[in-house]
Amino acid sequence: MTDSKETAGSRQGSGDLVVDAREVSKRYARTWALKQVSLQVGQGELVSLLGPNGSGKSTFIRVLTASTRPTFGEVRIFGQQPKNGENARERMGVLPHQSFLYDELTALENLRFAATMYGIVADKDRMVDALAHVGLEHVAGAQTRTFSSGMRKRLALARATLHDPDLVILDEPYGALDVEGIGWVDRFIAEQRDAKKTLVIATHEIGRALSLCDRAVQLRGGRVMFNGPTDEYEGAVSGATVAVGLNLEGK
Amino acid sequence: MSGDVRRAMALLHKDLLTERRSKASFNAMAFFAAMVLFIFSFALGPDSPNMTAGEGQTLLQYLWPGLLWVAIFFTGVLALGRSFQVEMESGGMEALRIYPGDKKAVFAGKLAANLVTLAAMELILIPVSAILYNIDLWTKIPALMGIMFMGSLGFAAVGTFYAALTANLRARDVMLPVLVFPVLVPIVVAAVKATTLIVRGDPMGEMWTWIRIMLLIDIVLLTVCTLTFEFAIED
Repeated sequence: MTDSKETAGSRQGSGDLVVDAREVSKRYARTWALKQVSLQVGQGELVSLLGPNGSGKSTFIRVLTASTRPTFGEVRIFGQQPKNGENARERMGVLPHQSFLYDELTALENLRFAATMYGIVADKDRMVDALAHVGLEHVAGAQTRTFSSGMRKRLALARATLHDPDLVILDEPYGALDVEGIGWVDRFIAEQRDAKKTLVIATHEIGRALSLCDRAVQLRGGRVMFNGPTDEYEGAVSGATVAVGLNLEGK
Repeated sequence: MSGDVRRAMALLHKDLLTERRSKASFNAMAFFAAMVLFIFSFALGPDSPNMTAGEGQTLLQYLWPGLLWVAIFFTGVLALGRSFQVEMESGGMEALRIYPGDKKAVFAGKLAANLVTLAAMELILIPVSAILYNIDLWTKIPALMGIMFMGSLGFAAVGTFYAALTANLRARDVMLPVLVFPVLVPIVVAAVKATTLIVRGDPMGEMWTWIRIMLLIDIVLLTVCTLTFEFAIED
């Protein structure tokens, strides 16, 4: 296993860092969800956060997106603290663990609301294009309460990239998806990579993450257990969780 | 229009559209308001003479300003509690935290939506109660509207703030009125007094004093709630 302090940030200088998290700890009541997690992500990198349930992946994502404040440590996105940095949040697109869609609104209205909140022009053509991009243009006028979980995920993906962000953060993008939905997410990630966007993906899908991403970060018990190139991951990481995960991927 | 004004308008539009389609708050409020008015009417008796003031009024007419504001505050708490439930049902307030922009815009949007909902409820509650209790308001409508706006503004400001603060609590339905009502005591006193002066006349010229008090309370509540709202929606 690799010590986080040795590897974190070793690949990048501080000049072009998109994500710069240093010694981040987060406590909920008496439980430490994150313990001194450091992660540096450079421009155009695809980084996967791996780990079992409760390892701290979603908490770390929430800290990165300024959804929650770290108990200790510091996070900078594009050189700014995400909580106060307007520029940082404008350049960040987030697919949260939950869809955050309003059931009473249509797909188009959900996107229009998000566009205004992101500070971009919410014209109809742009929204319809975004829907067409995720294959939902035929249900633009349907309330999202009628959507399946896969359609909700696709709409949330469209919303995450509506403002053409430079950093895309995906929390469990493959959760509750069928084969077709997984294909949509794979294509989405490939498109982002081709567009030289920076991606941080928290997922259980170890095999998929290793094939799509440049770097893997293994979290366990709120600590970084591995942080390095994906091709070194399997050799470096041992433990029952990963072994089980890889076996499942093989099946 | 600045980005934050647009964000506030988008939130207002989204909340009103959601309410128009679900009618979750308004139906509950209308039913509850009707119940409150009828219960007062039955409890006090529609023709009970007013023995206290001896002004040739029934007791219901004499107490109408107070009963009206009690009905507004009781029913309004339902709408205020609901305003952040919409966010919780969509997954939580995380989305509102993730979006860029000043969180004061979120407060302004939510406050505006709550004010519109309260105003819609008052537009029904006031004429219905005036007819039910046989009160002549026709010539007093402009002054009454001003007082209703000032009272509702303070109520909505405090209610929006505490609705955000309690949205994550399991006992939020209990905690919201417990937290809101004590803070509202000054605005309730001023609003009831000003409404009473409108209905019964103002021979001593006290109205401007109460209007100034209401304005001061509104400014204080709005300022404090706006500046501290960011902490109310924090995780």
